[in-house]
This record gives sequence, structure tokens and C-alpha cells, in this order.
Amino acid sequence: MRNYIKSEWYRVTHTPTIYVFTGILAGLALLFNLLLWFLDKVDPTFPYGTTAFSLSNLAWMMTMLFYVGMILVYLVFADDKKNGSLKNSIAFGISRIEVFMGKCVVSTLVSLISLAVILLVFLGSAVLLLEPGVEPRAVEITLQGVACVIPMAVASEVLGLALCSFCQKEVVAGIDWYVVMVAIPQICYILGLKFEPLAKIAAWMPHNYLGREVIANMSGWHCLWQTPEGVAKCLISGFIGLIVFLIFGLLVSKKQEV
Amino acid sequence: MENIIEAKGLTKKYPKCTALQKVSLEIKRGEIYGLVGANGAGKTTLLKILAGQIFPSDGEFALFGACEKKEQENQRKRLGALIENPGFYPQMTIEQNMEFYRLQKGVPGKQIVEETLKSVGLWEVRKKKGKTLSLGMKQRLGLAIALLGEPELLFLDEPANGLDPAGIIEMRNLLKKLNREKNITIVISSHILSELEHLATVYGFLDKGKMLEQISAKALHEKCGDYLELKVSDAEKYTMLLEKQLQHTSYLVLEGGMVQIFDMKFDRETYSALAGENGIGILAMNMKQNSLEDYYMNLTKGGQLV
Repeated sequence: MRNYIKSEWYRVTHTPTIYVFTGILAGLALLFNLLLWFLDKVDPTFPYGTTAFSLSNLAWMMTMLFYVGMILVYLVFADDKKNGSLKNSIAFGISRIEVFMGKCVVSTLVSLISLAVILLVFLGSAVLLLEPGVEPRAVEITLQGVACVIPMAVASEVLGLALCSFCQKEVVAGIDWYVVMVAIPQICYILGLKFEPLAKIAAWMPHNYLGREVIANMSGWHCLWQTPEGVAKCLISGFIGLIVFLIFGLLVSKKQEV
Repeated sequence: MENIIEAKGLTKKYPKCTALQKVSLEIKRGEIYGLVGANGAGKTTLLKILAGQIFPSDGEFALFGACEKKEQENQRKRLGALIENPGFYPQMTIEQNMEFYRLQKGVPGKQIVEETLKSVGLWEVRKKKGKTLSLGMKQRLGLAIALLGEPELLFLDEPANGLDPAGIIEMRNLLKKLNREKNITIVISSHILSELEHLATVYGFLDKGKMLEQISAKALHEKCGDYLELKVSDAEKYTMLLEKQLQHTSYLVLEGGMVQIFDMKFDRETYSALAGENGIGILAMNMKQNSLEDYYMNLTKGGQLV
């Protein structure tokens, strides 16, 4: 598997996709803070030119990390079936499991590095350009939140990789991913309003708890991961998701014909 | 000689068709095995099963003696393959694609990339991106990827697709050289039979998913040798005389008084005199040679040389 990981790493670092992807997201993050800074400068009464407001946009939208991860998988790893490189790997004696696990490893590494760069630009520019605002610990809380969500974000990528190898068409893989990560939790939440047991299950689904148990606005920050129970919930559900999606990926990739 | 591939009863069924039906074959080390068949005959399916890309519905095969899936995966590190379209990343250059597969195959030494690209004539254009390559160049790159690391066994599916005549000759010479100098076993499929005629040492004829016949090039050449084709006024009488007077039984009677005589024991004049002396008119007489194409067509029509 080491050779496969080396080759995938070589490919990812020798194609522009990951650089463009990271560059665009980091650029947008910087642009966002520059815009807040500019508005604050031209209008001193502008209330949103603060670090707390800037970072609150990430804090209450941590599910964004899942989407970003899936897009990265889609851009960097989804086309090997289409361009025939997967069938070469299989013909050269690399097992389907090695291919899947190798992709999971490289995808995780690449996305973590990309995330680190984007966060550095986003948090750095917010701290340097803007006033602290209502929550002086905004940076710390945001970083804590990202750390808590990372296991589930990796799980979401693993699911994306598994679906890309399972589905013949990438679009179908994208739709299936959305169904698992967003639609099913949403349906469970709605049904949970009527059926109590389902509400308990729905409460452990990242889409639900990140959407409903995080408040970060101009009035103050009350985030799930600020309590030990919240941290445990994020990490446990993240690791369970990771294990479930890894098993699913291994099972489907074993039977995959290329 | 050691059998590199031994397959028994390989079958591949899809929901709407059966692509391969109980195909058995043996390929020995050092052979150039030509898989002959029309489009849809099952050539690619067979190669894909042997390369592990798809799974057989039934049957089994041994690759370098390995029958178990895990063992076969290990043995596949000894093979190179170009099946269907050449697989590479279009946004990477030729050289980067080669380096990618070198790392993946675990082939030591970067110079191997240069050597392989030179052997297929792509070194000069190594900085070109995959997406800008012509069909012929893509095919060469696919071949180069398959050749990386000096495999012991090569699977080539229609490798001449998209190559210009000079490219076809270069590829043929390269494959012959690899087979001769490094004893690389090659399984090559094509529907351009004349291409295989220059290369294969053994043939496997596939039709509608079935293996019709496996035959060595030598045996095939003997079967396909020169023959005399006569158009006579009375084919029935002529063939009777052929058997009685010349004790010749190797012939084929076609429509319109056409007789094909194989394994000629006498010169042309003897066969012509046989007709003339017995009042049979000769309307045409030509020396001909059975090509691989004729042989294949005869096989697939269910026809047989007498």
C-alpha cells in the first residue's frame, strides 16, 4: 500500500487541482475579512467588522467542512475510473482494498493540509484586520470546533470515496452522499418530532447537532463543543461514522469491477 | 515449457448477455499468444478477467501457478497491461504519468522512465500533457506504462489502435525484441488479423464468447499454406478423378465449380492435365494462399478445410 500512497501523493502534488482548490477557498476567506475590514473603515458604526462575527460564520456552519471535503474528493479522486488509471492499478497487482485505503489516507492528508492553510489565512486575516468583538475567545472556540468536527469530516470524505467507487456515475455518488449526510438526518429529525426514539438517534447525527446545537452570533457564542459532553458527542459520532463508512467502502470496493 | 496462464471454463455473464462461455486456454512462457476475434467476440473480457479487472461468473484460472485471488494479486506485479483505452491522467505530462506508475509499481530508479519512453518514441515529447496527446501518442503512452519495470507477462488489447503504419511497425519490432531478448510472454488481441500474422507464435480463435481453436503459428502456417484454385466445368467428376488417379484427398469444393486443392503433391500442369485428359474444361486456375483471415472466416462460419 505504501507504493500506492506514494504514487497518489505524487499525483495530487503534481497536478494543479489541490493548489487551485486551496487557493480559491483561502482567497475567498481573505476576501471576506478584507470586505469586513473595508466596511468597518468606511463606516465606523458598522457592527460586523469583528473577529467574532467573521469566525461565527464558520462556527455555525461547521457542516461546510463536510461539503468542502466531498468537493475535494470529487475533484481529486473521482475520475480514476473514467480515465482508466484504476484498471491499470488493479492489473498491476494492487488490491482494491489497498486502492481504497490508500485513497483514504492521501485524501485525509491532503484535505488536512488544505484545511490548515485555509484556516491560517481565515483566522490570521480575521485577527490581524478586525477588532475582537463580542467573543474574545472566538479563535480558540473555532479551532476547538474544527478539531471536534475533523473525525466526521474525514468520515464524510471516506463515504465520498466509497460512493465514487461504488457508483458508475460521479453525479450519482454526489447525490447519494447528500442523501446520507444531509437528507436522512433531516428526515430523522422531522420524524423524531413525532417519535421519541428517533429523536435520540437524530440528535447524534452531525448534520443535526451542528445545525441545532451551535449558536454563534452577535449576541454571543454557545457552541456544542464548549462542553465536555459536546466534545464527546462530536468525537464519538465522528469515529462511529468513520468506522461505518470505512467498512462500507471496503465491502463495496472488494466487489468493484473496473 | 512452464504454463504462465492456465484457464478452465472461464465464463462471464452480464444481465443481458454472456460475454464469455467456458473458455479454456494455456499460455506458455515465451509465447506470443494472438487472441483473434471480431468485435464482441470476448477478447477484452477474457483479458480483463486475467488482469483481475473483472471477476468471472464461473470457471477458474492460474496465473504464474497462482489460483487464489490474493496470490494472483501478488503475481500481477509481474505483468503489464494495456486493455481497452490507455489509462493515464490527462492533466499530468507524459513523464509525470510514467513517474506516477513507476512509484505505484515500486520500480526502483528514475532512469527507467527515460528508457521506457525512449523505447516507445515518447521521450522527446515527455513534457506534453496527457490531454493534448494524439490517439497514437496515447496508445504509445499506454504501452509505455504497461512496459514499465520489465514485466514478465504483457496483456495488450488492440495495441495498434490509432497508430500510424510506421508506429505499428515500431511497436511490432519492439514487442518482438522484448519477446526475443527478455523472453516476455505476450498476450495480444486484435481484430486486424494481418497485424497478428506478423507477431503471434500461438493463436486462440474466439467467436461469440467461445474459444473455437488454439493452434500454433507453425501448425496454422501448414494449414494455411499455398493452394491451387481451379474453376472447372464439372467439379464432381474432377474431384473424383483427383482422388482416384492422383490419390489426393485434401481439397475443398466451393460453389460455381470452384475446387481448392491443398497440400499439392504435383505441379500445376499435372492437375491441369487431369482435367484436359478427361474432357473437363478449365475455366480458371490460380495459385493462392490461405490467410489468417480466411482461416478465421472458415472457422467462424463453421467451415473446415478438408
